[in-house]
Amino acid sequence: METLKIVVSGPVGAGKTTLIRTLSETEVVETDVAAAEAIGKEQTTVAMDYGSLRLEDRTLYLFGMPGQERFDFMWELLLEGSLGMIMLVRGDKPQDFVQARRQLEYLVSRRDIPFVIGVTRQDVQPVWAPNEVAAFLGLPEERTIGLVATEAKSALVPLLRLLEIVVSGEKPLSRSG
Amino acid sequence: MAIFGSLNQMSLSDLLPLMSVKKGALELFNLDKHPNVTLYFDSGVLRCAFKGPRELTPPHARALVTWLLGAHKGSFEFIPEATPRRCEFPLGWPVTQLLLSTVTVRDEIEHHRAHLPHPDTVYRLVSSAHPEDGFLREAQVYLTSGSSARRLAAALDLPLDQVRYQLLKLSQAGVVVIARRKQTTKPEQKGAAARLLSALKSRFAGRRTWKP
Repeated sequence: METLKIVVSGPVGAGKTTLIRTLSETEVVETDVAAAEAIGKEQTTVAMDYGSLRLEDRTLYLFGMPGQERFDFMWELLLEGSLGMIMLVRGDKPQDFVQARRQLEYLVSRRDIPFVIGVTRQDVQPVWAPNEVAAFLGLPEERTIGLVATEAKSALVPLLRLLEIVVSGEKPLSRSG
Repeated sequence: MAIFGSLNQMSLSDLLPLMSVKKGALELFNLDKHPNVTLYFDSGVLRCAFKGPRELTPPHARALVTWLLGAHKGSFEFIPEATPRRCEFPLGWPVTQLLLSTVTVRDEIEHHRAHLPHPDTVYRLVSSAHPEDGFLREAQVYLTSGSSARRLAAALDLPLDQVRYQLLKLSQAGVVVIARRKQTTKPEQKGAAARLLSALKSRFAGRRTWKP
């Protein structure tokens, strides 16, 4: 049995738990607790969410990375041995983009990790389009994908894109070193 | 008559205007996590600065004064007419301008706090412009091979927030960039991803919803 791991990261409230819940075939192990601060939602993940998907003779594990920076000691540990990372940002919450960029810059400067950016909440208006988020983050447009994390077909798209990037060995990072 | 007191009751920003008309040494002690500091003033100018027995270079002196402006723990005493035994790094900073510029830096750090880079994000130098920048001159050797704010702060003995602020400024000026780790996907990872991609596509191709 082959086991594979993909990490879902992003700021608090980006939709990580929702995406894992949507994609997972098994019961998702959640570590959500009542939020102690006003973060825009009642529950927040304090350790990691975990779900899995069985495909023929292999199992894909999905790990949700806690968005709060005080858990940054876990970020690199979670990425250890992973195939890649899907970072989610809420398209209707531009105030979170700075934090997403900060987290992305930290992770890509420290780990050799293929990634895609999933721009969630594409079903609400107003919302930033994926290419606009790509411009903000200084990434090529093909690195960002719009999605609705509650819809299975849509939630699958960033996963497929990430795997395509890993397979093709794409090196699309342009703006910095 | 003596000038002495506690930073809790009188901050350095209250003291500096007074120092601009004095000649002598302002000694600061019982500081939080800092050895004693001595600042020498003469004719409205900060001449040189010492942390313990060590004389500070201009970037260190500026960082220290910036930090001291926010310090609320510690005591001070002014020694009139005291002069340093040596002054190898003469600062020559007019006190009023120093107060203005350091307060500005403190305000900017607070204003940009959400934008300051993560302490462990690694940057590398891409431009050798701005040789007049004292921070860059000292940090250049570390940034050439790539360094984080935390490593720089430790190596240069500067406050972490000030190093993060400097890296933000240098990054905005295009002098440093994020040192992205080279993506070198291993063959076995490529193979695993290809098999997974194929399995996902064959299972979910054409389905509108994919959970059974």
